[in-house]
Amino acid sequence: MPVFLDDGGECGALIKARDWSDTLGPVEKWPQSLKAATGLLLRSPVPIAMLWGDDGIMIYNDAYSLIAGGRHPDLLGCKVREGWPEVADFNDHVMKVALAGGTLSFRDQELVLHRHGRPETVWMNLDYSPVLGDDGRPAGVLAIVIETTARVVAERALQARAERLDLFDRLSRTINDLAAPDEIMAVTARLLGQHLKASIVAYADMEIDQDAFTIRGDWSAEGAQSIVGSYSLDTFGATAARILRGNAPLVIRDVRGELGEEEGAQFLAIGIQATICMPYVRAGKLAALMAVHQNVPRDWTEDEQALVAEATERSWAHIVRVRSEAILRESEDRFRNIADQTPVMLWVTDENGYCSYLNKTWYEFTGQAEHEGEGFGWLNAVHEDDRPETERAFVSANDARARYETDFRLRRADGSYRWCIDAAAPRFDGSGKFMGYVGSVIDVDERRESIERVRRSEEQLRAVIDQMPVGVAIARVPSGEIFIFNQALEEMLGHPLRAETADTYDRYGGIDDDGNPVPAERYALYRAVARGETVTDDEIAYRRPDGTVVDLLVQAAPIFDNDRKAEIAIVAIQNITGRKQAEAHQHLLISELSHRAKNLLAIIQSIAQQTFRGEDSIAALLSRFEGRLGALSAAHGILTQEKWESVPLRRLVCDTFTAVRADDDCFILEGPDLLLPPKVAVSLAMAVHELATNATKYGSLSQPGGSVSITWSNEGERLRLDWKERGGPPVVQPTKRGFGTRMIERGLAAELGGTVRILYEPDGVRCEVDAPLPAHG
Amino acid sequence: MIAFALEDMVIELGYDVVGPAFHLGDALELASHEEFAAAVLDVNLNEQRSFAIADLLHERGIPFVFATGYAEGGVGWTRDAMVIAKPYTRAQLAKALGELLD
Repeated sequence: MPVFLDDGGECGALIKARDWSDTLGPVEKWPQSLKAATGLLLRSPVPIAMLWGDDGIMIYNDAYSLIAGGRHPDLLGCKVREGWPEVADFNDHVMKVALAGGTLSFRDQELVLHRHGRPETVWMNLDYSPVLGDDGRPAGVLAIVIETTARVVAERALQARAERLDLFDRLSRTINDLAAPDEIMAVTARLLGQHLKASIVAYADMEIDQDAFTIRGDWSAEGAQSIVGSYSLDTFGATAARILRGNAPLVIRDVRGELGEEEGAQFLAIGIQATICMPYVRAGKLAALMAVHQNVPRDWTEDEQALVAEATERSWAHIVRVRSEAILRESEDRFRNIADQTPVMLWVTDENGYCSYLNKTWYEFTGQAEHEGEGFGWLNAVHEDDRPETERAFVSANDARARYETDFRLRRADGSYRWCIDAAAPRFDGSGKFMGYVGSVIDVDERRESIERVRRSEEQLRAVIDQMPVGVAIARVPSGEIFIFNQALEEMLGHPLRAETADTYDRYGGIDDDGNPVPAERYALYRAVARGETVTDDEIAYRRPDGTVVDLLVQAAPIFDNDRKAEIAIVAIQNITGRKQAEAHQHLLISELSHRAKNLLAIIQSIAQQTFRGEDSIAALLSRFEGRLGALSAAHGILTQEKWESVPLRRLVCDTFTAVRADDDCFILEGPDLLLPPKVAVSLAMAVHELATNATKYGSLSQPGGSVSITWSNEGERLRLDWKERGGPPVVQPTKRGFGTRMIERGLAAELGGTVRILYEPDGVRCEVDAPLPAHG
Repeated sequence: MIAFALEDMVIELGYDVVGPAFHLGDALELASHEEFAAAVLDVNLNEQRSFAIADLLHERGIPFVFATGYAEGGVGWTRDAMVIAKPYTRAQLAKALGELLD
């Protein structure tokens, strides 16, 4: 047995055992060069194969058998082109080069081998060199084969990781500067597409119905077509729709193979044969998609799926952050915009009382430079005198975290000061933490002035109303609430005038002709308030709390403002009780005057009737008539002077007497001062006239030296009057009693309610009056 | 004085006179006790109204006539009554008394 195969390991043993008659002939007869080379390689720990002859008959060692995998040991003695059919071309090239005396060397050569019945990508370091035959010419090729797959794979994984990191780094850096969601998605799509060498990367928004979606943008590799547009999820087949609606990623390596022509029709129609669709789920619903497509079937690795998932997630997260930042910024911008446009000065402080913001209105008003008011700088614009109190109010409110309101004079840009009200409320965040204050400052100078003006004018109005000699009250329309009334009215009615509603006016003292209280509607003010009527010269009787009744003349009217709308109604009331009484009195006087005139005429008629009778001459009768009229007239003269109230007895007698006898030394008057009622006075005057006339004609005064004494007394509440003539001719009892006598004896007696007697005493006529002292009043 | 003139007129007209009374008390006395066919009542008797006498006369069925100086508008008694206005003439009085005693 040839010795070169000894100690050749498994392969040495297999070569020894093999029948080589089909190719190289029996081992013992191999050329010396073949034997030497075989002996050499069998003893090498490095994987070596020798390809002998033009066919490249394969002889290899144990180390190489491991690389041959499942093909060992059948590979031993095979023609190399047949033994490795998948790389036949490669080996053919090697054979030609080496047999021509050349060498070949490959580092990390990638080859797809079927060593275990399935394709397998491997990397190898390959060194080829010729083996000289016995004739000194190349007879075979020596191949040193070292598999580097493990190293290459490790190196590649390392590189892939580096590339992925690089991708995310670039993704982050690029989108960080972007705010628009579409731009962010476009960048993500482009970077993903380039990195994965995909055909198309598209992003889509799902509609609310979870079916329709819109591809808003995509990135496509050169030669691939954009697929931007609107689609329906259901048209992509039941499988795809089910998976995506289940919020799971859809991974298809081969559309045709996995879905079939029919279900995969929509994918195929837009040139997609493999895809990774990554769902974005918000609030449990499918909201958007990021899809990576390939125009040929593609074996998506776990790494690639993870990469798509992560890139998508990062982009969405960024969009969400950018959106909320945008919303916040917009909200902030909006606040500033509103705050700056508002005519009210606004400010914000933090929890320490430090002013962090004052709006434009503040700076325009105060003329402070922007930011000057921050911190406590705003206090500098407050009037020096108001500053300590303002600061104190703010600081103490801040400590108490209470609402507060204060007023101070604030300096305007022009240096003038205006009264302002500063009102503020504490702010709290969602968890109830104190955040500081938000406050507003309003210029109330004008309002203060106008309020003051209104107050002054109201005061004046009240003063005017109070000074008015008529009663005045003002009520609100339409309630009827009386809110102003003057003292004159209170005095007139005997009580204050208050009311909440017009319906309660019936509590007041208005009465009808029968003395019953009148309903609320009867009051003029009610008509003005409730019906808008203007009431003039309404007369009403009013019973005051003390029971007295007064007559009132009432005017009432609604007061219209510029809009022809009545908000108040006024009532003016005059007490016309006095006027009414005066009118009644006047009426009474006229009636009395008429009565007296008629009475007087009746008296004159009566006197005439009594006078013009008998046989005396007309001249004598007329004289007598004149005398009586004279007495009547004198009595009335006194009555008029005494205002028809009462007449002093002395004066009456004296005047009556002197009307008959002008010389006043012929009569004596003696008695106390007494007053007589008018009617009695007239009767007494007429009686004295008759007595005086008779005395002059027939009695004591008919001759010189005669006299009359008239004395009276009022003892015991009785009037006693005594007329006594003296010094006249002897008295003759008259034969008939005339008018005068009758009037004296009966008329006067009846008038006085006492007795009157005429006594014809021989020395002179006496007339005695005895009557109760007449009451008068 | 008017009463005396009235008294004279009544006598001249051929009647007998009961009275006259100048005060309400006297008049009431006369009206309730005396016998007479008719009366002339002055509304105003010494500042007092004579309606109580009118009531009494009405009760007794004695006709009467009011004489008054007050003008229009009646005398103010509760019932209707004949009235002659002062001053009245003899003829007016005669007519009134004639009607009362008719």
